Amino acid sequence: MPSGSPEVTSGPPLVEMRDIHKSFGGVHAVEGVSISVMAGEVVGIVGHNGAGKSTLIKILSGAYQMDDGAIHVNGNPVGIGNPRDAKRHGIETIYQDLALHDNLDAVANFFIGREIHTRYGTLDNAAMERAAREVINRINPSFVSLRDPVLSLSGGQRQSIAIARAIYFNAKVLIMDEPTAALGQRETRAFKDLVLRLKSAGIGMLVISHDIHDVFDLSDRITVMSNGRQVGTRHTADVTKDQVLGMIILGKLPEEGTEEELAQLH
Amino acid sequence: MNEHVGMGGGMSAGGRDPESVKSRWQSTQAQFFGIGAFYVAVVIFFALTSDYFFSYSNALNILTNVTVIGIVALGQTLAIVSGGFDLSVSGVVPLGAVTFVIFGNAEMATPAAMLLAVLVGAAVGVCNGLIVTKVGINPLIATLGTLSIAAGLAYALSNGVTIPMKNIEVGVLAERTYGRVPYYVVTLIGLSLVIWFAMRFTVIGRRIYAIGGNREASRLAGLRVDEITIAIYATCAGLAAFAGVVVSSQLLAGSATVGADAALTSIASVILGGAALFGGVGGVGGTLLGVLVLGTIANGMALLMVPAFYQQIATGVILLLAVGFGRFRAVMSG
Ligand SMILES: Nc1ncnc2c1ncn2[C@@H]1O[C@H](COP(=O)(O)OP(=O)(O)OP(=O)(O)O)[C@@H](O)[C@H]1O
Ligand SMILES: [Mg+2]
Repeated sequence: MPSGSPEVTSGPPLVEMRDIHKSFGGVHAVEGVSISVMAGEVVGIVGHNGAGKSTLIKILSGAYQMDDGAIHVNGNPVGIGNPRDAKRHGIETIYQDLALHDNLDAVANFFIGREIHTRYGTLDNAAMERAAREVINRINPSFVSLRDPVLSLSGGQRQSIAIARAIYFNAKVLIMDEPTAALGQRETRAFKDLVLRLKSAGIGMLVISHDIHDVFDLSDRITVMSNGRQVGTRHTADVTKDQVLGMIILGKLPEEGTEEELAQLH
Repeated sequence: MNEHVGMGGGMSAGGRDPESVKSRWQSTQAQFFGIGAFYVAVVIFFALTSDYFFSYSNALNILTNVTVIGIVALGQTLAIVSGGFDLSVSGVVPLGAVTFVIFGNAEMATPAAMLLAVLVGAAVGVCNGLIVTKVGINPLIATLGTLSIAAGLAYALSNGVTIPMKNIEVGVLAERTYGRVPYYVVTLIGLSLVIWFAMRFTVIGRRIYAIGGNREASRLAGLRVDEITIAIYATCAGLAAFAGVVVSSQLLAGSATVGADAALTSIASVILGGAALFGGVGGVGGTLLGVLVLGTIANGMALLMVPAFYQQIATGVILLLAVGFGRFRAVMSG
């Protein structure tokens, strides 16, 4: 276990990743990272570009297969061999690149893989449009073009679709890789409200963000990664933004940094 | 809408849209209407230059002549929309033609012989799908290989000679129904309706577009991308084998020399109909329009006594122009 992990208080975590390893050819993208999320908890993951954040969460979402390590859901070891397995365990993901189908409209993107259909296998477009409109508009009230191919939409609108479809299907754990990167100020505020509502509904969330302010606003705990390794995990209440920035930049825990190193940060 | 569709493949005054991708989408739509307008022009041209062209019996001729390629092109539409290609149809059409006659001559009931021929084709398609998904070979190369194998099999099974049908009744598809319309034309229309409906209104159709649009996103959404791909190649090759059955019904014989142009002409038709080369866009309506354009031009040129090899040249030129205009539009508006 990495040093500095805070004590988990009650019951098994919703999900726990233990000592995860993943290499691409010679690149060790993730080396021995452990992370857990409790019900109603938001865990922020921060680190430089290429730190391995996306690789880590893609193992949990079933997009990648880990080389070594273990995943537990509600305390039980599980195998996640593909994205279907993850969804079956109630793990939904908003990917960094959003993973949308540019040639399809917002409604089709929303329901792809989980289409509402009649018993003859034909699409129930009206029902899908109603449901999608309701959820998307809750996130982005100005969103209107549900029937245009999504490649014609703005980055913020595209992100709204990705968020909406992740929360619609009763996720227990939500993974969000840079969920606010393309959102405007107003939409980001609406997103933060949404996270608070999901939190009080008992949903656990893993949030990757480059915005240290967003991470501090949203997270209960923060995990810092650097070069595939876990620098440490801290309760947000126990650290300052400067200390977390120090962990990101130096790749060391605050108490490990020397006076000079810490001084250089300012 | 900033569309203005011109003749000849949809030249338009697009370009005001700041988002080039949006224009690319619209350009494929415009290509559909452009090719429709082009078709009208072709019909008017031949109607003016040939007395016989604009008649009911010639319309039937055209339909009869495009049936085989039409059936192949329906399957090719599935392959291309899903982000693939199927060159093997050029080998599967003769394989279906030969196996159908061999089974029919073995005293098998005609529907059973048809079904077996289609299954032989579908088996080739399953191989295509497995090679593309599990081995990870590019569809063009994979199906080029199976083209050669299937065509070789057709020659081997027929010993390189044309096998006459022992029982003329086996060629039932060439019989006439509803006046002078042969059964196989009705079959083409029926198959077109089924596939059009499936692509437009069913879950599986939606997923075919999804896979063609973004294969990785489809996988992340939990689609069984490999299984769907294999099913698509199986359907495509099954349809190609059925097209071979139709050819044998027309000829009352099975020959390994038929259908060599199936790959080129079916792909040309699908692309002419507005499908995107990279997948995700296209459909049955456009494909049938593409098939009709090429078939009508071939028919009209034959009526005007233009030698057959010029038709081949015309097909190539039209395809290049259509795709070229599509790219021209994309560049202009991008
Ligand atoms: N599919 C892949 N194939 C090969 N290498 C990969 C692949 N995905 C990630 N990597 C490599 O693994 C390392 C970690 O990448 P990852 O995308 O997980 O980082 P990240 O922390 O998400 O970065 P960013 O903040 O830029 O999103 C990088 O060196 C990257 O180049
Ligand atoms: Mg990333």
